[in-house]
Amino acid sequence: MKNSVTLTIDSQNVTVPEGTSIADAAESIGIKIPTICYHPSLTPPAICRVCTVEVEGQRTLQPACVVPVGEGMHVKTDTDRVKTARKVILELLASTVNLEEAPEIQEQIDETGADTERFEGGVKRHFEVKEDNPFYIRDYAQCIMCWRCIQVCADDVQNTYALTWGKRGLESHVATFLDEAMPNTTCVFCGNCVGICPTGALKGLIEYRSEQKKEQE
Amino acid sequence: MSSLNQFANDIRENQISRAALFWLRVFVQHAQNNVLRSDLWIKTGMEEGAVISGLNAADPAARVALLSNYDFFKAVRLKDQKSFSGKELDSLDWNRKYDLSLLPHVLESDDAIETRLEALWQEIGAVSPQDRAFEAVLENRASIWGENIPGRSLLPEILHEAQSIYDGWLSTPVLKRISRALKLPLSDIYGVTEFFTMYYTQPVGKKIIRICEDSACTMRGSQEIQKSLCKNLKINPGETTEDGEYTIEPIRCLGLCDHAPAALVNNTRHFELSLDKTDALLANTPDHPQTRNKIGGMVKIALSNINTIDPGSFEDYQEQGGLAALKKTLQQLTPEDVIESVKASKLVGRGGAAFPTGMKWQFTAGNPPGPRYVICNADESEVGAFKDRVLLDGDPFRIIEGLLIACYAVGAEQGFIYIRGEHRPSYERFVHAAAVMKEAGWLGTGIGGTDFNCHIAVRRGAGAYICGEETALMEALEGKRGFPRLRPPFPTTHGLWGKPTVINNVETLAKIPSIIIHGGAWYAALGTAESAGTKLFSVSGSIQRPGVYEVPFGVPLRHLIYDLAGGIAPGRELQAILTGGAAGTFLKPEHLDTPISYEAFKPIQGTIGAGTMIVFDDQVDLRHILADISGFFAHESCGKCYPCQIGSQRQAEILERIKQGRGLAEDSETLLELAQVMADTSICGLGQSAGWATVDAIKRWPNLLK
Ligand SMILES: Cc1cc2nc3c(=O)[nH]c(=O)nc-3n(C[C@H](O)[C@H](O)[C@H](O)COP(=O)(O)O)c2cc1C
Ligand code: SF4
Ligand code: SF4
Ligand code: FES
Ligand code: FES
Repeated sequence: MKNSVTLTIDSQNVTVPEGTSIADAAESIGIKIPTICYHPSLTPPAICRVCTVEVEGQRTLQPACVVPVGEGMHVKTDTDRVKTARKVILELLASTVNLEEAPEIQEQIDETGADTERFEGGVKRHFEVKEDNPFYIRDYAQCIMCWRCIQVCADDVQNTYALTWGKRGLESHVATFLDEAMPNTTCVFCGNCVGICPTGALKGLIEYRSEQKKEQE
Repeated sequence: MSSLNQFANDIRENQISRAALFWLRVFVQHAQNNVLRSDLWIKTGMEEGAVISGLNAADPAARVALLSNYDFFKAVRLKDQKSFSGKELDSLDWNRKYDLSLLPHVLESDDAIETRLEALWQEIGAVSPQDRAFEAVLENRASIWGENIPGRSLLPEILHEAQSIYDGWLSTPVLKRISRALKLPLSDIYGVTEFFTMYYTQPVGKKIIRICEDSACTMRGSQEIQKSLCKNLKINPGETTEDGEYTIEPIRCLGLCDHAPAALVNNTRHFELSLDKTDALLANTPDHPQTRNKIGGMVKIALSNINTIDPGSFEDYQEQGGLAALKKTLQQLTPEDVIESVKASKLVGRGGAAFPTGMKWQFTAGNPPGPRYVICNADESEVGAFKDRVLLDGDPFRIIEGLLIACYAVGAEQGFIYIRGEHRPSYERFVHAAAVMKEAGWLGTGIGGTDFNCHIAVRRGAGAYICGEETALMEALEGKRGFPRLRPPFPTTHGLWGKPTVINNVETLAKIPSIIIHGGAWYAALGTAESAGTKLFSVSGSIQRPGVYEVPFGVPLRHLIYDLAGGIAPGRELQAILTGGAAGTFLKPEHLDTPISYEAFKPIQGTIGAGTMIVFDDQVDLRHILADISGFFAHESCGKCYPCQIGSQRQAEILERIKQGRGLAEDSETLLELAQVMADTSICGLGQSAGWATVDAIKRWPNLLK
């Protein structure tokens, strides 16, 4: 059996098995920590940083989705510093990506009071919708770069390696080899990426077409 | 002349592309009893052709020309058995299926048609001289880049070699060839080429002209030079001339700030550009040597050989006392002795983070037995930083000696040196130095006649500042995109390939031989109580004698800026010194009498960092400097974590707007909050520190951004 670890989260004592993440430990006592990139069946990339919490003694805030609990740790999940961090990250995201079809993120925006207009006017993730295969479309203007599709396509599930990253920085995006259309890649149309995408960026073609139709009516 | 001879001649004279020969050969190889179905022919040909470089199998032109111009083939339509030959083949509907066969006269004219075609293929079809060169690289990769190194890690080197063989860029067949050779998915290779700015997957000009756009160079007119070149060549920055001769590519600091304004043409350095010397840029004929080191200082340790020995000569190095430290180490010291000595020296890392070197070595040495590595971080790419370049160019053997001593201390048998991609002359120097040392028995197995074995691999970066961050560098060395890793675990236990790894800066390692010879206490005594030894500073900007200066900690800032670097140009006043690089802080004239040391800089919030000092006189608009710096971070963010991926871009946009005179009342407050969030939540030091200079400027000049 694993050893257990006792720590405090927002001044409440909690005892959990060694190796538990701070986020899971918090959840066990009813404290919900917001997450975006985390998905229980994938290797956590820990890139969105909205799950950020304050851990006493640490210089920077810590991503609760991956940082394991430690004996005697003091964690705070709702200080001003944490709240500001979450709010600003969501403001940044909203200034870059079309979040209309990401209801969970919308909720987080409401909860944190993020001002979605604050960083308006800069470079956005701008792409035309890619409709290049009979199964799904890719609308990367809605892509939050959570890496899930790349991960399911590669080592985490499918070992197909159709997807990768193009460029870097704000220009980084999900890409195929030389940006080829899906049928010219190694893609086997398993649909795992569509299933796991948390936004409207990947969508079944039939669903997309019927939405288009509705919009026209 | 038989029609096959005619066909061969036409290929030799470029009347028809060699792809036609390829298609004929595919037919002969795959036909059963001289029959092959058209769709299978095309499918097989496309597959096989995709990995032959320089061959465009996807283009139907050669295939159609082969059929309709030579009277070799007959096609029988499957649907109705209608037969086509000669010119009729010109207008076949390829959506239908045909049984193709060669006409009797082709088969009869030469009954060993397979042999005949194979000979032709070897002669004019198969392998271009470029392919031959590249195949040799792939075949000999173990001997070129080292045995026992996982295949994937050679990807960046192989991409570099492929580009230099194939006209400066990576075509699809070349990428596919690499994918097969290294057994790597194409998407993965593409992801790497996309991350690094020096790889091209589209054709580029024969000469790529990269003119530095950072402050030391723009202050001396680099932008005017770029403009004038663009005007002459009739292109915009980032474009290639129609004749394919030139590409002009804007680039951030090249680490040649002591020779500003500076540029690279392909891998060649051009110093002190001026509007009347653009011919030398276009012809790529600089009128100066590729390395020129402007140095100075009172106590020369790391700099002691610079400009006094021939950096290509191992004899020179040894005559100046080189190798004495390694010999002493191997003959008289245990690994523990070495670590104790380095700890006693109180040497801290010179790459910016100032971590105690002896402790880093001790942590790494303390792991359970097993493979481990030492890396020399020579990726110096920060704005205004060039002190490592001077060491790399001027004294390569010292750095390798320091690296070997580090390997001995932690029990590593493999070291790496990762050199910034733009510093090709430095890379070549190291390849040469490593070869000479190996030849002389000072690298490899049984070093210096002892039982110490150690290999050193020299590697090139490819245009990504983030790969100076230690975990990103390890990813790059493993052949991946340079994404920084999450920490913990730390490299001292989980570094390169997950093994314990020491990573040290060039200057840090250059100090090691002297510490071994003279002892730790000697080195510690050179500096102040809390800042041991000497430090190199890259001084550039509005300064009379830009260069690299070595000073013991404790001398006043004034000594460095005025006595050594010559001060500000007559008639101008000192405004500020950006210390510690782009993620540093600004000191003012009132700080000139502060001693340079960690403890004296702390209360005035100065930064030592890697030792970068960019000087600004009173004519410089600091708002422009902040806009430039933040643009640098936005350009160099790897894009992994949201706060930096997006935050660095928004910061740059706000500062650019302010620079253009369109500031808003809330800007300062927004910038402060953004910087705090980036510092709190970014994965690595780039994002964490990208807002520091701006925050510092707002503190020192509260009205600057209003
Ligand atoms: C964005 C970034 C870039 C860096 N670039 C370099 C570099 O070019 N050279 C270097 O030695 N250290 C660089 N560092 C610091 C390294 O991560 C690491 O601390 C250093 O190589 C350790 O060597 P040292 O202890 O000898 O200083 C960089 C750090 C960051 C965050
Ligand atoms: S397409 Fe969807 S799953 Fe893939 S990175 Fe973008 S948001 Fe995430
Ligand atoms: S801080 Fe910036 S450079 Fe570092 S991991 Fe995050 S995005 Fe990449
Ligand atoms: S959910 Fe933890 S970093 Fe994204
Ligand atoms: S080389 Fe131009 S600023 Fe450094």
